[in-house]
Amino acid sequence: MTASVLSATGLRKEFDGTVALDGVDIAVSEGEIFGLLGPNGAGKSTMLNVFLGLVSPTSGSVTVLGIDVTEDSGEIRRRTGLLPDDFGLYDSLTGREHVELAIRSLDAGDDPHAILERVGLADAAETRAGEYSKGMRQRLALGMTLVDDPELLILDEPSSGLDPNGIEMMREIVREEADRGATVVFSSHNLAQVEMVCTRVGILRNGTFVVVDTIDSLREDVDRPPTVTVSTADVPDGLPETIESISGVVGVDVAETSIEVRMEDASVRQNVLSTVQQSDVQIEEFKVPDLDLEDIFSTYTTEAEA
Amino acid sequence: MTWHHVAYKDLKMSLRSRLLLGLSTLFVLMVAGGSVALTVLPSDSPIRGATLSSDTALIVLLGVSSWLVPIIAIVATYTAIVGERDSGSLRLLLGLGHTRRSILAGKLVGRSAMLLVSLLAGFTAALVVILTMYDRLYAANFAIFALSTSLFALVYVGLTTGVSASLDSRSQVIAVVVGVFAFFQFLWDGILIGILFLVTGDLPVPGENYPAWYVFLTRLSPTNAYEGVVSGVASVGQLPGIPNLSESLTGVESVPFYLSQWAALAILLFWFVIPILVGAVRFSNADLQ
Repeated sequence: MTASVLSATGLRKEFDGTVALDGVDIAVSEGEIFGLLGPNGAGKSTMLNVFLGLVSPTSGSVTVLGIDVTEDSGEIRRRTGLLPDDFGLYDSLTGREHVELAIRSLDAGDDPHAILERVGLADAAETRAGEYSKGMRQRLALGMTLVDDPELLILDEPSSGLDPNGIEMMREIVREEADRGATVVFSSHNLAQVEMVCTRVGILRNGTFVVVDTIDSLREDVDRPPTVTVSTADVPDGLPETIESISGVVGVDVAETSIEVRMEDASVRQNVLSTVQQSDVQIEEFKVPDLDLEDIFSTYTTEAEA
Repeated sequence: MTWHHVAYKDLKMSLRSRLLLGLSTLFVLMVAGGSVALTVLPSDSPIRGATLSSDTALIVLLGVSSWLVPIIAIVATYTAIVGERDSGSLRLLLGLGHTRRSILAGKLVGRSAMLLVSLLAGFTAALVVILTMYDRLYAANFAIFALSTSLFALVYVGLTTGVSASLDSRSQVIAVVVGVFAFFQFLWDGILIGILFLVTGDLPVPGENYPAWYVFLTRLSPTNAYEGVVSGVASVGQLPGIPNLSESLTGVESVPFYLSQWAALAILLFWFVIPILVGAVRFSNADLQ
């Protein structure tokens, strides 16, 4: 039994009448690496900002590290390493001075050099952040999150601006932090980024989770053939066989007033529907499972490439 | 509280910025230049007097400071919170465990320190001119002027920081702060003259006497309150160009308490405290997306 490091119930957030989060329920346990997936505008950053008290919830309850976010978000942020999305650095301060600011602020005992070494910035320690590239800025901000060995790391799009080496370094750091016992929550619009490190993912769309599951069982779901269920007044003789003969149909399960059709891919559905319609049987319902993960994933991965 | 880390960082960045150097240079040039300008006036000119003392310089320094100090304070301070909000470094700073309140306090202290560095440079320059080119230094009056001017600067730092914490775009912050400054600098006295005319039927003439309530209303402006503090404390009030309140009021026997330097000080503090409180409340409720 592991305690919930982060939990939200019925979390809702509106900005001037626009709903950004619409009834989010989530619990992340100690030591988990939780991936928050979703297209841009799904509400990922808003959700992470609510966890840290940067944005206040319109309704619902949110507890992080046992603290209600509306009570003492400063304490939550002190014990959490935060890499915000679209953050700014202090152009006139050097990389080392940024890490020192974090160390002083948290009253921590870290060695700035060791932190910079870990994120591959040891050579740029005395360079002002104004001269850093996008990737170096991302590395520096990631380094600042590591100060004082936080119990929780919240990384919003940590791979943005990083080259492949940087992304590998980031993954390595996430694994090391998790091994140390930290809980990690990170967001991405790219499934591939998340599945290599996360133990569990949640897919957010239009401000609510459409699925929260482990990577393994998501894979299983994706591998499972798509189905469609046709509810009819009765099942006429011969119809199951006709459906089974459609190319791409894998199997047919017949019940008293419904037929469940398993197929190789979702595009076969159209043929199944027209075959049933031609059989003059009265169709009561043509039901596609609510959650077609393959479709969702392909939607997300295409958007990520765009 | 962790505000001192924020203040330290803010001051360190200010000391590295060209802005502080530029503003300090401007202030030094204006006050030193004004002090030097007095020495070249003929000794029979009414403002100079036969003995050139630092009190005479204060008239000029007061005139320069009353408009230049607010401008310097506004330029140095308006980005305090909104600048970090705009660039996204505010979220980084919050992520280090600072509360909104400690960030606001740190910024207030950091920017105040920055202003005091500028002012100190100016006062030192003026003092050097006075010591080398003037006949007399009245140290106590000069010190009162320096302290009051510092307080006046902090009032505008507080006001500007409060507004900077209240709004989420730089242009809105600039518009509000410059609007407040311009209103009191250019419109307030004119509005009050209009009110005086409506009430008494007379337009004020320089050198004439004014009703006490009218003088009080002028004092509500931060700049006039600042001048009230300086002239009420220092003997500057006895000099030409600055009205001596005890001789220029109508309808009262002596200077009422609400026209004392203490009342003027209270008005200054009001302009410091209220915007900061409003800023603190609005900032703590703000969503920092």
